[in-house]
Amino acid sequence: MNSTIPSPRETNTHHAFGQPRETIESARHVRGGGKFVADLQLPGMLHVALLRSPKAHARIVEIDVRQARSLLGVHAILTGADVQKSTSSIYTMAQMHKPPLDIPLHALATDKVRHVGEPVVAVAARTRAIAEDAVRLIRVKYEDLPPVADADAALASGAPLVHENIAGNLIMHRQHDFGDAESVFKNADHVVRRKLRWPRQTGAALETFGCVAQWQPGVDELTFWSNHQSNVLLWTLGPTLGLPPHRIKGIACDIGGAFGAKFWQPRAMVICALFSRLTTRPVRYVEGRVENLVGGDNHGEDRTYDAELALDSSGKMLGLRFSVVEDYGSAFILGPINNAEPLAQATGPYDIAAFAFDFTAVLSNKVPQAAYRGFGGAAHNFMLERLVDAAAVELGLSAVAIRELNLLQPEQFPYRTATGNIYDSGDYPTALHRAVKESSYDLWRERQARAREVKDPTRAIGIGLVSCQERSVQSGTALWLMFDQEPGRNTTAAESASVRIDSQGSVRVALHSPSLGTPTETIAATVVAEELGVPADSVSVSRLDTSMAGPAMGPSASRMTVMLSGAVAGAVREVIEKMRPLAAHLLEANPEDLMWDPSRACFTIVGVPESSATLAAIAHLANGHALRLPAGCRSGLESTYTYDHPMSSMPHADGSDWGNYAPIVGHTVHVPVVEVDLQTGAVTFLDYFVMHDCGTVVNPDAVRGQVVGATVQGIATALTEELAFDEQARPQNTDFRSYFLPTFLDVPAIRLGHMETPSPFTYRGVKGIGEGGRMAAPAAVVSAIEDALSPYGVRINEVPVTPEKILKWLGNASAAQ
Amino acid sequence: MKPVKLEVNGIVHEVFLEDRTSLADALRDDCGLTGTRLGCEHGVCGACTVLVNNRPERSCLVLATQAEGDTIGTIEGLAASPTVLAPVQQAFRQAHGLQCGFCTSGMLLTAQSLLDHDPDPSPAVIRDWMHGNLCRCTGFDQIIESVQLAATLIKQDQAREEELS
Repeated sequence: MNSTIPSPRETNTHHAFGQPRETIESARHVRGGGKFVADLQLPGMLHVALLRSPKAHARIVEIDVRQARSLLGVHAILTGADVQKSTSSIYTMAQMHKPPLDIPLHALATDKVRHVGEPVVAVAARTRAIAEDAVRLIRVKYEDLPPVADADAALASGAPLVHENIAGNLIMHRQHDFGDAESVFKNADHVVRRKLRWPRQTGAALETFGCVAQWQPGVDELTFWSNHQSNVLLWTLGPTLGLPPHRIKGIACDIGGAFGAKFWQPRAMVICALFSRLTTRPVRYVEGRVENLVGGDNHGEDRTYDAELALDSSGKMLGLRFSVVEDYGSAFILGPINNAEPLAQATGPYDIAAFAFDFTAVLSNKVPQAAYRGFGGAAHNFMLERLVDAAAVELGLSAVAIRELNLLQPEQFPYRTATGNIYDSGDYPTALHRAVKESSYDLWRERQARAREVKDPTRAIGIGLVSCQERSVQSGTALWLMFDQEPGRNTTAAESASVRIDSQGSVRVALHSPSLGTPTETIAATVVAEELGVPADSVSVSRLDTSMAGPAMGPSASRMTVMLSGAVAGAVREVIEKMRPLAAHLLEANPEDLMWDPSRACFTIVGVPESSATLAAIAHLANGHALRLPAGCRSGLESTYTYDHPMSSMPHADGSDWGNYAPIVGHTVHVPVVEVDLQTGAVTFLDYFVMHDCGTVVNPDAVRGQVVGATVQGIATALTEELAFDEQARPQNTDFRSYFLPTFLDVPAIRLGHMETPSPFTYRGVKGIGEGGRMAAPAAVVSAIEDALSPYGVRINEVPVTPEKILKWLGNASAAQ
Repeated sequence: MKPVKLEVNGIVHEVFLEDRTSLADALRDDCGLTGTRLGCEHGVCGACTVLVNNRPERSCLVLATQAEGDTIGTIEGLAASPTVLAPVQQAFRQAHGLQCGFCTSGMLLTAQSLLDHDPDPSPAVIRDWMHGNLCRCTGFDQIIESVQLAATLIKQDQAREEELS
């Protein structure tokens, strides 16, 4: 354990956790009072519109901006040449590779465009409408180049190159074998194999990405307002802009949903910064919806698996191996994170000793990949659960039986996986049994059997069941894949919080990173209530800008509840220790004889509970009454506490062990029941049950919201959402009329079962919860549909499962008979 | 640019607009009412929903000049004053009908309109009435429960008023 919270007297009593509580955030949002980036109005502010490439791959021959420049209201225009003159390439994780990969990323295309939607020219004007008018007056002459439309095309011999210095469009290729998977597979009784396809999807938060930049001449300081999840990373733009990193300040606005898609959006930030330097005005850019879906650097995983599971004759799993080819698009912004992160739970909740994989990352003429809820974990769980379902069918086992046989047992925790990541705690057999019982699994099976007897040619019932991991609390060491034999340049991703108590005894908390609706402000206040004993709704919560923020990463990879509660609790406990000598002074007692009593928010003398010093009395003394202070004490009552990742560890130098990078592991079992209309291919839900365990629950309603919301996103992953490309690498899903988000009418009510297996390694046993629903639902829904169609021999190896595909598969099945 | 009079939340705003200015942009940029959100500007997501003559409308699809002479209601006018909440707002807080808050303004106005028409809507009616408002965070269950709670709160308010009168 790297990090401990100072804990003079750990108690098991919860004062504030687990109770229903209205969120702090909702008080402003129900009034329309949230302050999102598009709500900022600064005097003299200019608005940016971008001319984006209509072509996937083309050389830029000529750009004519003369007409646009002469339009009234236009203040400045930038092309790739201007950007190249005044900035260096944006720092991406391609540069962290050893040796650095020559995959440059500029804010505007320079010599050629590499994907549809790539920004080519930027206009800053008095209003957004004028900027958009000006964009329409710009003429760009392109010379077409053959596009690389997918991974197969990228790897074909003689394929056109996306980046000239990346031979064969191959970013990286890695092979690892843990536990001698090769011989395990050679000697296994059974090997099941599936080839699976997972196309791009995206977070599609209702608020698009946006930022405002304001350059201050003289001090040469740049302030960004944005809805970045990781505005704490803005300093990395320093080298790009030629500024000392500490001269870049990030202010987090309210964030209208992110889901990973706002993790890191450097291009528009650089454009606004350059415009602000040119004009000395504040400059705003807010993506349009089409820009967001087509060119927004926010697409999720895009991969093909060839996967195998080795089992003995009884159905015991022995080994897992797969090769995966990942299409990262035209840059490598977040490195191989979408492939590295899921390997923290490579073997799922199962006891599988041997694991091997073969990973190929390629470039294509698509917009660069970034993050989408789960960092690739949804596709990984889909792959594993498809194999488990296939194995059950081939071995004649039920979906429940094969899992019963292979789930890790409670006494195996903490469990070291084949790759070296630790699972902290869990009780998977209980989760499975409760899910079977509470979902009425057996009753649904009976109903399915009766329906099948009738042989209704119009509809079929299917029952899905998956058991999945939700790893949480990422450490940046997950990026070991970048470094081959030399790991360890990465951040362990700490989180900081400040707590201050004023002279009235009122408590203020400052977060050091942005907050989403997850709801981190409320969680921070609840932790204060838990530790200190003041009412949570009396705590005032604000956010620091990055100029004074400590080490922090912000909301991503289901880390905030664990990391923030560690930081806030640490700060509160330090403040309590600062109060101790003051309380002793007031009570004329020995400091060691005092204990903090959170049930009354006061210090008492151990064994003399009626003798107490209240928070208000101590706070009054502590804030500016130096003459009354005991010797050795200073005025002021505050603490800033940086909480380190509780379990992060280094990968082994020889690559045999990747260390701990997401060891706080939640667990979930999903049981959807679907009815498939065999004539239209439509899928409707008869029921959907979710059993979940995210350790100690801080706020039950917020946890439910995360589980249900993520599950519904996962349902849409399974059924409707896809960012498809044609053979010219042109996006086919460009707005909400072709990229189908789920509506009230598309999804069922989700029934939940709660379990709490506290983590032994975190504050009060909390675990992350933000991504689990989406990590499990795609596998579960596909499992249910395949179950419904099993009498027709249909095997499903891809998402989304659209009505068209279902009808095609049924047609193929009947043609085969 | 020409002068346009917009009656919003009972106050008449005289603003100078281009013909092409949408009602959403006029409300946000010219009337200072930024609680109306823009999610897609294609009329799909419903985040920009406002009440025009008490009917929910997409303010991104209506030109501001078209709304001259209409009565417009936005989220800022839903409660009687900034320090109190309308029952539907209170219900969304209590039943966790929101996370990030971006769809919430439109969601609340559509919900209010539903409750004006049907004081006791079933979950099926709520799903049908509100399906033009997208929420990417909640998965909808807690919104449905919020609307039902709002119906209960309104009935309690009415009962209390009847008792007093």
